[in-house]
Amino acid sequence: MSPTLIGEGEQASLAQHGMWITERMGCGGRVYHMPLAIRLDGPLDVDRLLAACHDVVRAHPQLTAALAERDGEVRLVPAAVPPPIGFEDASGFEDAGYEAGELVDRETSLALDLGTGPAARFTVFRLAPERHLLVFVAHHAVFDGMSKDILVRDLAAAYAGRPVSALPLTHGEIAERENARVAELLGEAAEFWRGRWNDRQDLRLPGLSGVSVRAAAGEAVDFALPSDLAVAADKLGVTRFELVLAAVHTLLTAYGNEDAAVAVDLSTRTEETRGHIGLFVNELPVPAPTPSGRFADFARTVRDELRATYRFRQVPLARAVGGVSPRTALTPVSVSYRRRDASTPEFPGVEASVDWMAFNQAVRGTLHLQVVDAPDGVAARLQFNPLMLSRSGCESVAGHLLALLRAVAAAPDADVADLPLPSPVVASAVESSSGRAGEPSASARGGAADAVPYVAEVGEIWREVLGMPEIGPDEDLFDLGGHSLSITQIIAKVRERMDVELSFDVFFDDPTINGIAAEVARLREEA
Amino acid sequence: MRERVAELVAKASGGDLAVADILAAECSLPALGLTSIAYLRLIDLLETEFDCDVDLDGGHLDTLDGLVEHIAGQRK
Repeated sequence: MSPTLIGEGEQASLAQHGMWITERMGCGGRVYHMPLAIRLDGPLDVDRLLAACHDVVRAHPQLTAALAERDGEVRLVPAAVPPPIGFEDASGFEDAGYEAGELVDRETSLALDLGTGPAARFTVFRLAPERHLLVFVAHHAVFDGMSKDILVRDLAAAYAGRPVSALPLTHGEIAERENARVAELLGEAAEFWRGRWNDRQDLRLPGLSGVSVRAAAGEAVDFALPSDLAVAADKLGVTRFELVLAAVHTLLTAYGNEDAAVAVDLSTRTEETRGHIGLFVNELPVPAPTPSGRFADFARTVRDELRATYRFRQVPLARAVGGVSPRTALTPVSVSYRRRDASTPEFPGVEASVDWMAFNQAVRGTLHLQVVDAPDGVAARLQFNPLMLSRSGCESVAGHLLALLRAVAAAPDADVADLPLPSPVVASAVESSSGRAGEPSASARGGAADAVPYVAEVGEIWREVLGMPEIGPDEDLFDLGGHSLSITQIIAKVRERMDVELSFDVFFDDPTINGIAAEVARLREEA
Repeated sequence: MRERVAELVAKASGGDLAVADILAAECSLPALGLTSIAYLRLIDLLETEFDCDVDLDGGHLDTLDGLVEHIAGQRK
């Protein structure tokens, strides 16, 4: 049987479930669009390239997937709309004063639809007879950083006339195995995170005026990390990633943050999924003690913390602990680090140059450090929410990080106290913009509909879904340990038993039994 | 203004899209066939004609009505 078809109703992964919910709650959009651009100079065979795009789509079923809710669970289904693969003649484009980046921005802004498809899009632009640009955009629910390497490798192979390797497993099989593994680990993970996770929304950074863990239009400051990063890491006995993470923690402490957790994107790929395009990332927090003594020792502590989380890397934090409200970033400050060992794959007859870090002009939290470590240098980008953080503040952070890393490279044995660190930032009235505190509950919102008749039944549904004998009518779903699966199950049961279709918004505004009951009452009245 | 914006869309598309179709369309402009290059040309035309800013961020700018609303909102 060909593993390349999506069976009807295969399980979606936990990460996909979470992302689907976030989209349905209106918090996703552009932040989940992942662009990749390949510039091709020379005599390009456009038809062959377009055919190669088709080959890649056939070989990677996630690109033709859609997500649908069935009986309270999110399933993978074949998309009604496959990825568009097109050609646009943009001859004279650059002479007219446009830049290729604008095409990437435009393609990135085009809609992707997880419900119907397309989940991805390919467009080949001719800029001149021997200058082309391939712009690919995929939804993060079916694509991640490492998928970029696989995509380019397989496109090059297909263009060169080589067969694209078949995948050993279907995504349904992958998700099933992962879900089983997570179920096994859940108890231990809950225990592990209980002492370690603290949902802090207070933050100090230079130029900071607010804190957010929700998607927003983003800006970026690009820079390069010192080329001797590898040497420094070796001397400290840690990996480059661990060194960067330790440096970020050290900076945050210097700014005056206590116990700041920095979330990192961890790959959940296994040997079997190494060659799969898809979403194999889990964002988990890495807490660290206050840096003191030798930096080298602190870096190794960070390393130990990080390695301890690897056992639970597949378990979404929201499934293990309660109180994780809907958000696109786990913590206001986060880091992703990716190593690219291979050089750019060859497209015979043309020179290919890939933008591995095309920016979607959106940010998931307040400040995100993205690092792509390649043979030709360590590229870094600080993505920031300009409504929360000023550009000059972000540039300061970049400068401080570089100064710290350079000093560590020069003196690996230095004490933290002797390293060049910024002074503490004076705390201004920084308020989290993602909290729900102060918002009137649905039942208090002058609604005409009386929720009382529905509270009992909604309460019954909640008790079943959460597996709890008693739940107070104003207890927050997420504080009770609810998460994205709870949302879909509650919606399904309410649909089944109470014959109304709850929107996802109510889980934002008032995720309590009373809140849901009020919404049911409102919908009943409208009907 | 709706007619004028539709005319500019047609112009930006190099004649590929007809004004009548644009005005009558219930789908998004990309669905109608507005290419990315044409869209960038359109932005230039709109920014020049209406002295406004059109950024690339937002599905609401992918329909004729969305564009009209956006421009109207900018002209105070």
